[in-house]
Amino acid sequence: MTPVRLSVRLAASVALSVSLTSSAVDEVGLRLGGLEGEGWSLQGLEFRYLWVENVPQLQIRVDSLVLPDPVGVVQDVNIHCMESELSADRILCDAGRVSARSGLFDIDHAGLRLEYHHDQGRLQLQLQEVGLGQGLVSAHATLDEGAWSVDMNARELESGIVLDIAAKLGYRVDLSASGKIDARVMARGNEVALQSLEWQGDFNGLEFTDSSGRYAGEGLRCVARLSLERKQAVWLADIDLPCEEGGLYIDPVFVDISQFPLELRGSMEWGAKGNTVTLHNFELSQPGILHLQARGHADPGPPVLFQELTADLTDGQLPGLYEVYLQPFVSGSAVAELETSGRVDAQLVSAKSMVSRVLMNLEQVSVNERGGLFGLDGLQGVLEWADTEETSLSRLQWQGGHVYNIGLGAAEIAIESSNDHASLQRPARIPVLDGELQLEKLSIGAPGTSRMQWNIEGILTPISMRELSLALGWPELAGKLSGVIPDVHYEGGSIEVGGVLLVRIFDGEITLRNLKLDQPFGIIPRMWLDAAIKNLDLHTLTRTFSFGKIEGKLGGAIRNLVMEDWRPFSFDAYLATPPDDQSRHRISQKAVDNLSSIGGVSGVLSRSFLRFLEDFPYDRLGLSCRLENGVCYMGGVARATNGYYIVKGSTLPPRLDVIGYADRVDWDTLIQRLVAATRAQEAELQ
Amino acid sequence: MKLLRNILSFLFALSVLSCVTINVYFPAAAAEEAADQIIRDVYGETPEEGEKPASEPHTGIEPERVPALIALLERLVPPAHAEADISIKTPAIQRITASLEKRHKQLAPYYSSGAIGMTNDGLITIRDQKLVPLKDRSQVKQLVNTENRDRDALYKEIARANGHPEWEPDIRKTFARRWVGNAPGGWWYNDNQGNWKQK
Repeated sequence: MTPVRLSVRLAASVALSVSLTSSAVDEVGLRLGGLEGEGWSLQGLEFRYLWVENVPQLQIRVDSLVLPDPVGVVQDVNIHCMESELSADRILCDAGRVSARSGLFDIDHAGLRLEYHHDQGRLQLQLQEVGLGQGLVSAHATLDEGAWSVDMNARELESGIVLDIAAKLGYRVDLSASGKIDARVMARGNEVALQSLEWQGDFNGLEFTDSSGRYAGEGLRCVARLSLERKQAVWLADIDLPCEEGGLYIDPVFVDISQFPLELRGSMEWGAKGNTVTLHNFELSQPGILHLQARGHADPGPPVLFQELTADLTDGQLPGLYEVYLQPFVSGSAVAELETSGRVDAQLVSAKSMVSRVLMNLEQVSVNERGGLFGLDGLQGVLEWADTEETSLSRLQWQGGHVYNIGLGAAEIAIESSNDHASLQRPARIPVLDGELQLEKLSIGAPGTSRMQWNIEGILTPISMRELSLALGWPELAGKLSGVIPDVHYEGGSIEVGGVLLVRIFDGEITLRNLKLDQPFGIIPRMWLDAAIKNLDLHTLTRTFSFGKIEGKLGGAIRNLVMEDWRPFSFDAYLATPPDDQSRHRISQKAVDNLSSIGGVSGVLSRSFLRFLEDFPYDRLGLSCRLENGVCYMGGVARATNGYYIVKGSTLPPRLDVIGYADRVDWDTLIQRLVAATRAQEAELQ
Repeated sequence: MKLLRNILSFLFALSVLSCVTINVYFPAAAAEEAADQIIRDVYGETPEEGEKPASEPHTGIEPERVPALIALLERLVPPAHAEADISIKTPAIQRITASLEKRHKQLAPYYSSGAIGMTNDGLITIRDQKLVPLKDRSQVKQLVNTENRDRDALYKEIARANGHPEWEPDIRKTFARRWVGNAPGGWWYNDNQGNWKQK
């Protein structure tokens, strides 16, 4: 047994008073100017022991008591014990009241019971209903053979006051808070240190925010349970934090807990290896969104460094997972506005806070960009990546999808990846409209990073132009599009097609070179290309556009075509019958009228005898347009007086020339005229 | 002596004439007009037209320090310059403007509350996150990011469409002033020293 030893030094003034009644001594008083011990001192002690109706009472008053930090100075201590005992065995103060003022908080007539046994060195202290702001705290402390325990209950404690007290105790956090807490704390310790702590806090309507507003909560209804236990040098902690109501913002993520209640629980330990904290099993459970389990080792920092971390995501539900936890991180990108559905499971392994392995399992996932840029439905498969040289295999299949309005069919791709590189394991076939994109090679560098780049080699098997034109909102075209895609390279938001892309259309060929796309899913998609046109059959072409029948071939080039937002911005084009074209050259009345209308004249033939002829032979026809700043600088197949020949008639009668005089035409007007004329002709014929 | 004076006069005249340079200046006034046109489309109204904040920097580009003689000669023979027009009628610019206009309706309440403010580089930023209801914070952050992406694209696009990509910083500065100039009273902006001021 180790009795409490007091080592005191008395200050200068000591006064002893004894008052006597007729029968016996009824009051003993003692006044001390000062008293000092190791780590504490007091000033102005007044001690009264008195008998009231034969019940001994004790009154103690201390002007100023200085205790070790964090309590510090306590002033105006008044203790009044309605029942007391001062004997050789024990000191008792019962049915007492205590008042005091300190920097931490004030005590105003709180209930007190104190019992001290000299021989056992055992001290028991009970404080009842200490007012703390609008809350009330009761505590029961014991000190027995050097071991101590404190049980504390708090009701309706204001969270702001708790933060104030914590700050005064040296635990300053950049938070302001409001809302009530009911809490129970049980702490056990010995002379050396704290041994265990149990805490349960019920938060109701808790609001908090840091000064920047990056971390905040409102209307939170949570229960926090914390259990701390020390085993030699190691601390073990269990945490359980279920929250049922409110909102939580951890920049940039907002979690609507009322909609998706969550529970965080886990156990961890630290102290065995320096500062390292071992997370045994941390779980974040949020039905309808995710279930996350994490384990590993971390250095608390700041910043926190995860030496090792394995996180398992199970039951990741879309769209909740995307909208709550992913979307805030991708704002401003092409995947910022997605409609999602399906389920995702994943595992993430990281070492030294760097991701070293990712495994993802997709089940019936649909991803559709809200602006209609792209989408994939029925996504299924496994994605795997590791930062090692060992090969991981990913398989991904989907039921359908689209890029803009170009439909993609069901397909499967298998990708091998290692370290910072991925490639196609075997050729893949992706249906595109009624054709197919046959991917022979796909190589991805630095996947999943901003430095990502990829290369594709493949073949596009015939796609009907009807389908494609409908998908792109063009006039309905006939024919087929097919091509060899020699080398497509993506880097930094730009796609460049190396070599030549070949399109077979209108029984001729269009070869596309220098094709480049910039930010195809950005706010301003931009495209550059040069096109060479060879031997297009004018009959097929004009039939397609209801332009009026023309027979012959068409060739030429479109150089430096720049498209912005999928609309022509500038180009230099020349399209004409090739000089060596030996095919039949005939042009119908309707086509003549349409070509004339480009120059703003219409119905020329219907006003002459030529209207009796159905079509005319011609020598050459063609047009050139250099588009700059919305203006088309026009030309034809040959110079004419004050103009240019759009159609140069044959030398044999009936000869008909179409001559254009407008050399500068507003591009939009030109397109409007063409469309209007074609429609008018269609109507006239009907 | 007379010959020497004639030679000197000739040389002086030659030197004066040789100072006739052709510069393409950044068309500050046209840029301002273009900016106002776009900004009013975006804001959807024309409040307090032409009003500028007290701390607004001087309009146009700061003239570089030039040697006194050249300055004198330039006074005598003003350099021929072509102050081009600023075109904003390209599909790209119109598309970005439409995108800004659409988003502005969502941003407007946060300008008024002081949650977001205008920066001195023609962008916007979250000034006081605490003024945004908790549930909207994530969304406002996304709006601000997307708005800034569009604004960056707009300045670049105007410079590019006008054949002078190097004008981008000047166009940005012009817009930075005019976003503030056209804004209604009560909105917050960053002055040139980076301090927040309320219009």
